[in-house]
Amino acid sequence: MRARLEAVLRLCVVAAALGAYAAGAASFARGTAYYPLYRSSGGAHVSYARARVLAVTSETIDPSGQSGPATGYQDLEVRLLGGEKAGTELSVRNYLNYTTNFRLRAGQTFIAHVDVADPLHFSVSVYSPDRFRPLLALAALFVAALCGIGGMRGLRSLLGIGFTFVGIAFIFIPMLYRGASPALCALAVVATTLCVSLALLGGLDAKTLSAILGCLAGLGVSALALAVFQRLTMTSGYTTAESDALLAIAGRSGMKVGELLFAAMLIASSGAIMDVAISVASAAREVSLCDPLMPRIRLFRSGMNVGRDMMGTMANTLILAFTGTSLNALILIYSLERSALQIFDSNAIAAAIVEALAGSLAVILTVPAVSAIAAFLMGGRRGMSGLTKS
Amino acid sequence: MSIVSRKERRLAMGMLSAAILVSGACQFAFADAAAGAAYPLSCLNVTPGGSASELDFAWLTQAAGKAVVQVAKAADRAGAAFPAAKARSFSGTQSAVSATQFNGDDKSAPTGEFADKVAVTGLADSTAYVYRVGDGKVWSEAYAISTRDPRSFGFLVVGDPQLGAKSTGPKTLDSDAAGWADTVAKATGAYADASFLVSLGDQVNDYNKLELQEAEYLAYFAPPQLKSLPVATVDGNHDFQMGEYYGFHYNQPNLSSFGASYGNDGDYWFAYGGALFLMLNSNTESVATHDLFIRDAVARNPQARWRIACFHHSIYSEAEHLSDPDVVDRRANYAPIFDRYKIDLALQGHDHSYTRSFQILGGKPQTEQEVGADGTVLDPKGCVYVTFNSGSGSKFYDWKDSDPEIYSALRWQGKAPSFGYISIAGDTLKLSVFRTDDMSLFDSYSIRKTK
Repeated sequence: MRARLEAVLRLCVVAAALGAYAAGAASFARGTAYYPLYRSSGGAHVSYARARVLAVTSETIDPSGQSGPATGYQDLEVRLLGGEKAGTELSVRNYLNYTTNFRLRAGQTFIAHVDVADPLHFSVSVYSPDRFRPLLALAALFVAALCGIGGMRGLRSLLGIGFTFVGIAFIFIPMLYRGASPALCALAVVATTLCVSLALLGGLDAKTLSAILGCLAGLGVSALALAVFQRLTMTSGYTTAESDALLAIAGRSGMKVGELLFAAMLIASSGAIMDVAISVASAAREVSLCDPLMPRIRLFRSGMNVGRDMMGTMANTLILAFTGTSLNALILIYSLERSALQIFDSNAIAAAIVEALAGSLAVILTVPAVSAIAAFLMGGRRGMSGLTKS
Repeated sequence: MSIVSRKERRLAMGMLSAAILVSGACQFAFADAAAGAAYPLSCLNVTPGGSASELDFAWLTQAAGKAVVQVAKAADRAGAAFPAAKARSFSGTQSAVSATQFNGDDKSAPTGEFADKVAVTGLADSTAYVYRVGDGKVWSEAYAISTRDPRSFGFLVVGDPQLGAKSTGPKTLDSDAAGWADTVAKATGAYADASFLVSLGDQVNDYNKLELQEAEYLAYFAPPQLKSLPVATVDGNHDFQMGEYYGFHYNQPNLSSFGASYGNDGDYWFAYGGALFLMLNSNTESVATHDLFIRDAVARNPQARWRIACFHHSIYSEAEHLSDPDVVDRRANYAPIFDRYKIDLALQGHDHSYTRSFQILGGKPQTEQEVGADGTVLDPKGCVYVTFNSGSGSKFYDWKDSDPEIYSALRWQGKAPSFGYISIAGDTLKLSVFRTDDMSLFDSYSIRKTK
């Protein structure tokens, strides 16, 4: 009972530290230059507010039979629920076409685009469905599952997620924006994130230490492979689809657009590296708990065996993840019967291949690294028992 | 004065004959004290007036004082001298120029120049004039300008000249300027009777350094033909990034506070022949301001047979900016307004590629239209959206997707500068678009209203 209380207390201390860190990081993120897409003088402005459909007064849907979303329009009676015009009731025409296509029903809430021209005139249109509740529900399910099944450790990994999010949103992105080296920032962010989240998850013990050291090794491999093969394939931030908009920002802030692709890929690969590292370290620990005197070489082999199984699925994971994120592009490529040269040498596909394979390479080499470190730290003899105690 | 001539000399290095002439004039004036100093000016340009009998002049000067334009009929000119005795004088306003160079602080600072703006009224149709500008005592050299017949007229259109984008060719401001000078020369050569030119925003490129944008403005105004051809511009996202500096360069008729981003760059309209031109500043986030502006302009021009909206950020185009969140916002919010006010034609830039949409109504392409024997679309439903490619060739964008979008009737990316010519004669509007390098036609489209 007392141990449990202590654990909760410890968690509170960690959460408080995380909160202080988040507040500090947020204050760092504030005040950075931003690139104005719009500006209106004379008091004109746009805001977004929640609104409710009171009634659908009429609906004209085109029954053209073409595959695709319904097109036409709805005339709605709506009430604005928040914002500066809260309480206002008015008619809104909701266009259903290839740009805006949310067919609403009476009683439903949505997000309204409230466009104020001057103190006397404003207009309202449908911006999007109200997505807050379903998103919140999904997040609640996730947290419930994480804590329900993961218990205290689930709660701790939640803190780890918070730490990662704060680091990326409030430190990493503003640093890149201000012109810090994306490669160094990515290395720093990923290294810190994995140290903190693995430590939060597993506590400070030999298992965590092996996972962290193995991760760092894997990260090194990933960085090296990315650096070499991005250079050889001549892919960089300059060859991405968003380079023009990014260069516009860089003109102001000195952001290093070229290195951004390296940073992006390093971060993308770090999740899988962490995944493999903690799995192998955890397996090695379970094995060593069963037989604390097991020789290092046998512990190493156990780690490798677990790791080999993981490599097989991990390679698939990366291919499936790639398919998932580029499904639309793959369908377009398929429909066009492009030549292999055109496909594999294009900016986007070449970069995706470098990312998938360099990441996989790092995942694979993480396995022997973690196995060796875990075997050294947790293997039999030489009085390592102090470290292996959980 | 010395600032101008130094700037002009810098440009003169760039093979621009116009710049060489101006620079030469300044230096000559220095030497010849007896003739008095020449009037120090730059960026002289003319915008179509609110009606066909008006022209609106603007220029920048270092000399504080009056802003005056003298206009005389070319027929009254005997020899080289300006016929001052037979000229009419028009006075306007002068204001100190400032710029908001956006660096996160959004602070306005004076540039040390003055913006002079003068409206010239009472001009007859189809008449050749000469004009000069100055402070009432010291004058610029004289330039020719002609009015046209608004009952049957044509005008030129270009997309983003964006001088200084430096994304093609030798990648210098000079090469961008040479491309621009070539387009202006060929377009005005092919259509010498054009009533005016419409430039669809991003006349200049830089938005980090005022001195770079100053040089780009000089290059933009450098083609000598532009002193003799009214130009109606809209505010592009690049022009806009130097704040109110854009608005000081032009004298735009019926300038509204609606649509403004920095007070002096709002929407404006002018009527010419049977057409009402609605020039929108699409950098403003508030589309409701455009709504009010268009409602007012349409109400004031009930006789207009054609309504043409011109703005920078293309809402139906094919390249780089196709799916930018701000462009998607505009697609959702501009199109319903254009439907409501029955806009016939939207002329746009921003995407450095050419796209002509189908007629669009309710956000949907109207692919079935009645077509006359000569290929002219009769009484079309909805509005046709045309996005123009770069007028100078300083930057081109590739297609975002390999297949054309559902709303596109024609797309073209020839990676060559291009321009359009639109003629309006009574009930028929005809669009022709050319690539400037070999002057070949790559799109033509015409619509006729029978009702």
